[in-house]
Amino acid sequence: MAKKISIDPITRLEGHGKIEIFLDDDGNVKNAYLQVPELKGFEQFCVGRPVEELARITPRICGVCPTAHHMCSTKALDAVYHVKPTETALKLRRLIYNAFMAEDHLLHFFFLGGPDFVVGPDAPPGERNILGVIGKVGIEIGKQVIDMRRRLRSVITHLGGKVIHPVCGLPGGVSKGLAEDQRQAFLKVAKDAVEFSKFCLQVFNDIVLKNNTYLDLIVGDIFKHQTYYMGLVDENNKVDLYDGKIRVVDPNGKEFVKFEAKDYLDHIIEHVEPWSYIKFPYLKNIGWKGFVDGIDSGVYRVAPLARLNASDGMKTPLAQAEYEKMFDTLGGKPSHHTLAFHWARLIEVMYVSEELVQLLEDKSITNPDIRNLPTETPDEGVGVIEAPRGTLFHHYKTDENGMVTGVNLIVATVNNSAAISMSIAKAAKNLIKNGKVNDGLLNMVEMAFRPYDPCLACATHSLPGKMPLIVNIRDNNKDIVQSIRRD
Amino acid sequence: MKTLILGLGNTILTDDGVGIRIAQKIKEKCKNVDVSEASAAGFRVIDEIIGYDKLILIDSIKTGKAEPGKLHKFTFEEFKKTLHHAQPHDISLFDAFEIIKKHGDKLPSEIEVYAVEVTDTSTLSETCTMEVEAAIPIISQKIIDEQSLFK
Repeated sequence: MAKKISIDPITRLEGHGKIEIFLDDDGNVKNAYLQVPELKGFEQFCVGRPVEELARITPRICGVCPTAHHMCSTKALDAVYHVKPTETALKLRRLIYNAFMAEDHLLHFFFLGGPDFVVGPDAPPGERNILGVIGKVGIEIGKQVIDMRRRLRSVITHLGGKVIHPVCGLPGGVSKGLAEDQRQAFLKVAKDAVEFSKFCLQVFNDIVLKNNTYLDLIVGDIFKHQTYYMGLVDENNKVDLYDGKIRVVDPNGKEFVKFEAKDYLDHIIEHVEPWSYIKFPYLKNIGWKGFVDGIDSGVYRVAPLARLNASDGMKTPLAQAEYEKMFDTLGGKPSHHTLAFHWARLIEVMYVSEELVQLLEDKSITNPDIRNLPTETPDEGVGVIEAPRGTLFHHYKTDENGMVTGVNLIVATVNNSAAISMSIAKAAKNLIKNGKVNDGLLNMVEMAFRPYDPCLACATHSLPGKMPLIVNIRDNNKDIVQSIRRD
Repeated sequence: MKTLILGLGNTILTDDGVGIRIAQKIKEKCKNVDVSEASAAGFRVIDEIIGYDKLILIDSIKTGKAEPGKLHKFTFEEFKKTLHHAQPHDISLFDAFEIIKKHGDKLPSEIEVYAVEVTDTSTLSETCTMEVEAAIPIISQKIIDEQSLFK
């Protein structure tokens, strides 16, 4: 008698998802999947609109990483209009983007992923939240996190127009320049961000790495998958979050392919399953072999650890040192340990903070040349960016008047969708045996997907009437045979 | 008393945008009131409300027990209780509120939550479903009257 366990909703996950765990006759895990609700009619919604509107519409898809959508959309608009942004505009875009990445990553580490790590995987549910994190690290540190994020967000607000949904990106540039007094003020923020990054990595070192239980979990088999990895790199194959070529390495770390954004359809194709609205992208030139890892499976991963795996290093010195330390500790590159995504995330915070300092020490960022006006006829373009949660693609087609005729997006989390399902299944197989399910085990299953920081591109914000965590175990007639509820 | 009207939701997801639409309507009619909007939650909006004495939140809700377009009203306390019971691990706006309070920032001492019963929050559209759309002018006027926003 097959049974199905549903975990719904997933706690602390942005958006609204649902985990389905299917048990076999013996009560052991057969399969597990992450299900997501569908946003209906996005392409139809966009077609017929002026393409510039997409830079304001697409950030609305997601209340979590609107800045990533805005910036990716702006890059797609550059391509559609065949216009190259000015040097100053590029610096300003990177400035906004780095500030965003830092504050978003910090939010995840301390408030979303943190409860798993900082509080502890076996901590009672009541403590596995942000208040528990603050309880553990101390109220003063909690205050520092809040202050740092606020100051980074002030950079986005100043240049982006609006902090939650920036409106500064234009084809060929940006809408607002940076004054000298602001440059000096933001340089102070950037320098403090570097110091704060050091502090975060120290926290990770002291609380996580010095705890053998955590370290065993990180390098253990439960949270390990040998997949391909994708990320943007610069001309030296160093991690670049804003621009560059998309590099894919195989599970042994060897470069499999490096391509430009415009060629993404030659390399990525989407697999569809009947039970989920979410699509499962895979490497076209390897092929879909199912939800399995290994060199013969086209499943690839994106986001912080994948980016570090797909690169040859970091562009800035302190981040590079941390990069080397991480791979040394984890036993070499690439690292297949999913929980190390949390660590890689902090290394990226260091990188973007250091780059913020570099950008702001360069006085030319205040130059007035913030835009090249487009003069070409618009037609088609692809934008790519590394969103906090992975590689993000925007592909637009327009008529000669710049009205949208086609849109295709691959949002960051979707790249990871096959791997997320695999991670959940593997953790579930190890932790749910003979039908025995308890809250601690479910926490571990949830720990399997949180490193990906999945954002389900589902930006509804309706107040929940009631949203307890419910686990239903169903037989093959879909009748509930057991119900576990976590209020 | 410094008051902020904060509309929450997503204006391209049919009924999900109703809170923002109502907030915008209030802004049109009451020039002297601070009105803000956000398509985000928790920590991503908390900075917006710092420094105010009173906060009026307007959002959508799916109880499934009322007609679409019906206005529900909650006090912060009762809503907080509901959410804390429901989502012990999530970072709701209400959890964020508690944390920011500990941080020492001034947060509104008075909070009221309005929520409009909705049906469709997953279809991409800038227009709400018929019943919800029809309720927007009525509800915005009701909130203006109830909160004496013309003063």
